[in-house]
Amino acid sequence: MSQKALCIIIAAGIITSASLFAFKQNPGTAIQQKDTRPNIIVILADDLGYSDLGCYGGEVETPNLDYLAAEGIRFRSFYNTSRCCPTRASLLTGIYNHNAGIGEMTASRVESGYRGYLTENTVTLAEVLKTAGYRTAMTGKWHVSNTVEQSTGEAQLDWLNHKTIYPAFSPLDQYPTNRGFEKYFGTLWGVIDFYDPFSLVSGTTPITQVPKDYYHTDAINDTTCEYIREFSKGDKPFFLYVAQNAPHWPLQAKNEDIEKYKDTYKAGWDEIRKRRYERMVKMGLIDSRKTELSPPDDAQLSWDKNLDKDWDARAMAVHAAMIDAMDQGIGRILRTLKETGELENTLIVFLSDNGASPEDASAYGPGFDRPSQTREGRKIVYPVKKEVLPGPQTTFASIGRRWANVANTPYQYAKMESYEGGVRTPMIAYWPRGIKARKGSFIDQLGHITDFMKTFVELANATYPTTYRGHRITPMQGESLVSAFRGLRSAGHEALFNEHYGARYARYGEWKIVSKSGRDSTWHLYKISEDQAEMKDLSRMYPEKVKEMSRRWLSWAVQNQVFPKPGTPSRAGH
Amino acid sequence: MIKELTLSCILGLVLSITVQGQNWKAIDGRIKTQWGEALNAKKPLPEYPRPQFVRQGNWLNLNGLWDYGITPVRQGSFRKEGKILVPFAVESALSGVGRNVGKDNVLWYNTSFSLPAGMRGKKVLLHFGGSDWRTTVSLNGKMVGEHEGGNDPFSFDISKYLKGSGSQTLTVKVWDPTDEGPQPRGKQVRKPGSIWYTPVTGIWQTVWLEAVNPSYVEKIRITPDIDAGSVTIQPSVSQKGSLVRVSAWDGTTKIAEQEIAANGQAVLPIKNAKLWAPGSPFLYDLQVELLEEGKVVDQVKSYFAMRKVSLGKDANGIQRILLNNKFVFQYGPLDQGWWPDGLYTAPTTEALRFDIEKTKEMGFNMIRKHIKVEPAIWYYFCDKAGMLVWQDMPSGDNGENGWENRLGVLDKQSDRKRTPESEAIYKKEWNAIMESLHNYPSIVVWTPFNESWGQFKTAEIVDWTKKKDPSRLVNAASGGNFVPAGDIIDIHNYPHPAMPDPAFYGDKRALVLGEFGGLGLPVKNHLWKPADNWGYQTFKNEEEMFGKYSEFIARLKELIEAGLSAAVYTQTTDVEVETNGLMTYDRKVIKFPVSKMMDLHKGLYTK
Repeated sequence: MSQKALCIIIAAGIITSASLFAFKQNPGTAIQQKDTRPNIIVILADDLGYSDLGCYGGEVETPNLDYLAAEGIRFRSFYNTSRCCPTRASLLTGIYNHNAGIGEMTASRVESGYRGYLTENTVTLAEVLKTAGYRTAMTGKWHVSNTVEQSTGEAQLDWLNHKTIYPAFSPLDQYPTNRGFEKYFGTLWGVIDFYDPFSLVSGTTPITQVPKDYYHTDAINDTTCEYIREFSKGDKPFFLYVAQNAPHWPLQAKNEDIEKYKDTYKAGWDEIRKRRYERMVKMGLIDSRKTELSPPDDAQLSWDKNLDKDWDARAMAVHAAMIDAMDQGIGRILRTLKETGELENTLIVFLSDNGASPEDASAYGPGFDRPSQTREGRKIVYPVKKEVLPGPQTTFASIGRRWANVANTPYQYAKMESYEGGVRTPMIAYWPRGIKARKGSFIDQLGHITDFMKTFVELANATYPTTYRGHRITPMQGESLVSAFRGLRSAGHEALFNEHYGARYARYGEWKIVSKSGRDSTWHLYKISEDQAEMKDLSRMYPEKVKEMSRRWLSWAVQNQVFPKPGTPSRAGH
Repeated sequence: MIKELTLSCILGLVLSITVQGQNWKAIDGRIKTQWGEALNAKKPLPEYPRPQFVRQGNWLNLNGLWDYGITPVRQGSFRKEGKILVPFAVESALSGVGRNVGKDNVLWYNTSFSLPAGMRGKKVLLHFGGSDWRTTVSLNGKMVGEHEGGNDPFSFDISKYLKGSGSQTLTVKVWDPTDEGPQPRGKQVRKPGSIWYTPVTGIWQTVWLEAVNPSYVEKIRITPDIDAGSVTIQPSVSQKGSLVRVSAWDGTTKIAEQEIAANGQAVLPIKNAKLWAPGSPFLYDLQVELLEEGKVVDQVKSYFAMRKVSLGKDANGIQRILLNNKFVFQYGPLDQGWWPDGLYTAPTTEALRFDIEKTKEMGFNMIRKHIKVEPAIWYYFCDKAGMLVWQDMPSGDNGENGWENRLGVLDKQSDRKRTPESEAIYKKEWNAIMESLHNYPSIVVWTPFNESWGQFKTAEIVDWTKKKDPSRLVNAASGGNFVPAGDIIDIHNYPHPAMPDPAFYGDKRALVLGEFGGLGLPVKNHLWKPADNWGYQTFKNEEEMFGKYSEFIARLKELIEAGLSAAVYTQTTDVEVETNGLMTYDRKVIKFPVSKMMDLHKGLYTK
């Protein structure tokens, strides 16, 4: 209790000092000039596939995101770091995720690249922007702090099932409000029941009850609208980090949204994939000569022979409905920005934390971050045999590898892997006043999740500190996206790298080497400039190139805290 | 627990080179141990010689009957004079030769072997566990390399000297000036008598081949930290640009694992560590794998223990030696490690283990390994047995400098004036010894000097020793000359126990009785020589001697109370004409009652 109280005081102290700083900046309100720096909103989707959105070739109805794309720009080659926690760590800090302490997930480990929280050598976007005079708030999923578990599985389940209350889901000094966000509404952990989420807090206070008919995606977006309304009353620009939980499993969506897609996916995996690919080619997102449609992830089971067609079509319909609901919420955010007069000078970026997930969440069963029953005591079914349809609160399921393969069209593999299906994300940037590039155009600049720090520092005229709270801060590693916004050509990153649970890649020039997670660590070589779907492995043809690229990877890995690397996989998170 | 070294799994490759064992006969007229009497000359010391760093499979033991010759130093080539049983030193009975060499001569060895199919195309390393003192190695007529140092293991990469097929001829030349050179030589002298023994020249430990991949783990450095709950592993690998995977195991359970860059270090968390101590010598297994392009290209099995040795003050403000942050009195025999039939070399590995086991059965928890370094397997047995080890640097270049054995008195003490070459030899060899022994948890104290023998620049040497290995205590000079350096003040007192006065010396350093006792009892038919036998105080029978010993132990208890941290009784066995052993030189008579000793000693460790 005393620790909690202390942390709240610390948080309050930070807010106060920041306000004082702002006051000094603007002495005398009478002569105060309007701050012309843009508002910044980062919207991060969770487990969204590369081609799920309409503006990236999908059949899901996403008119609001499509609007942002049509009025803004879309990046063709933008990369995250393949998994929830690592991507969030890189996004928030502007450095490779191991450098930020999150090489795996949120388990606390001794190795400096695997501490499971944003380590002391980092500053967050919010800390940098707040220091520069921005208002800051966050809604949604944090998942970059150590997860506090109860000592027994039973106690943990009671907590997940809302039978007991504990004050902290993570060490309090790791909460968003102690990492630069003035306000926070959302969940600390990674997996939630959309109807009654675990680890939901306001600031640092646990929210112990939610209203009837609560749906978390709506709550995130509507709270964001509230923050906008509040911040727009002041003169300062604001920074909002909207970390959507959608469309991460469990598949849970409102019936009216599911209804729209009830027949959509009866066409089956291959057909939907083919249609997506054709739309992507047609809209100019991909060049069919350089990006072939990769073979299906599981050619063994054709849709025709699938005995669970109804269940699978329904699963994907719920996935689509979750995205749809998110898009509707983003629509409400846009409307609020318009109503408050902020839309014109607000930069909105939208992207996903990793590719769609191939996991079978029902097979995990209850435990760690998955409840076994609802607050009222209704049993939650984990339908490993697809015996219960997904959608309601009482079912815990996911789309699985075949639909994930569709969601990531045209790329191979999925979430957690370093193949394009795992790491390439849609990325929309919208800013009526600031984006000079042709509206609706595609950008070829090689972009990376670390780029936002440098971009926002530039736009906010902020300073990226060398020390912060007495700690030396790791220099930022991203490239600025501003020239792309301005319509100028820039190559972006010369090289990109990744590592997560053994999955890894190095991309340099026109080449990429990549290996899968798990036991098979063989490097595969692709001429990524001409073979974006990673179809032709050239490693045997160019062994010297593999050596050179693997040396680049190792050199990066050694310099970026990938090593020392803990061996046994931790059990935490998704 | 670490797996027992099972002979069956490791002996596989002991080879045909030793089939000519029938040409061998031990030198007559000297007492022998039971193991020497039953020695299998076809397979002398067949065990895998490096149990702390086991690379499975691809090795070949070269011990056995080799040709030898002794020539004047200037003569440039080998001339066969007979057969020698490697690895027993040429002066020893078990070598089958029994000749001295001296500084004007060199000892030549010659043997041949054929490379097993499994080693072809690999990098082949030729290992010598120990060879005293300057060893020059040639293969197929080409010089491979030279090593100076009789106490540290060494190896050469012989790959490029190997012939594509057929018999490979190995020639080894050794020069050892014994006490006519400045090199560390322990107790060896040309004219043995009283506390000085026979020279040992040439190979005295197992010679073996090991095949490795071009990329391999050369060595690892293990340092536990029980306070932090971690163990640090620093590997050295032959090629940079690789990764190393290190894992710690409690039995079959992997408790920690890390992948590190080849030039990095792994710090493995060991949660709720089982601490190593006498009586509970828990060993964790360690696996080190070298990865290239994600493939395991080399694998080494090792082990480590979580234990700490440090100084800390007791309630009276006197420094004590702490084991795992608690005071445990350390009591052991002075252990020379000599054998009547093998001299430096125990006739068998079982014999080597025997001394440690008997020491343990008598209730000692420590061994002072006196101015000798043992084969790796000896330290492995100590690690397994929970036997603490105080390791002396073998002395050498003893000379005219004065020894002042009275603590607190400045009178006769003086530094040995050593030449720059002599000093460099000392430093190089002490460094190599400490390197080779770093990973054995049993070793808790390093002792650079003994009784002023070759003692020079003490503070400098002690500080350097401590800096090289801060994880252990340093006992500057056992028995003087006394210099305020290191962690320990160590006096020798014969025969009865005594100690440095805590009021004068207890504030900064732990107080130790580094030698006492030496109660002598010559046992007929188990004597090296019929006459001139020697002890610090000689007795007529075992009962009388044990009575005196019991008085000493009673007195020791009072000294422990007063502030004594450790004591060393002289000594484990009779050695040559020294008849003050707990056992005879041939280990056939144990002169003290083992179980009574155990009971008597129990009182030293409990308050």
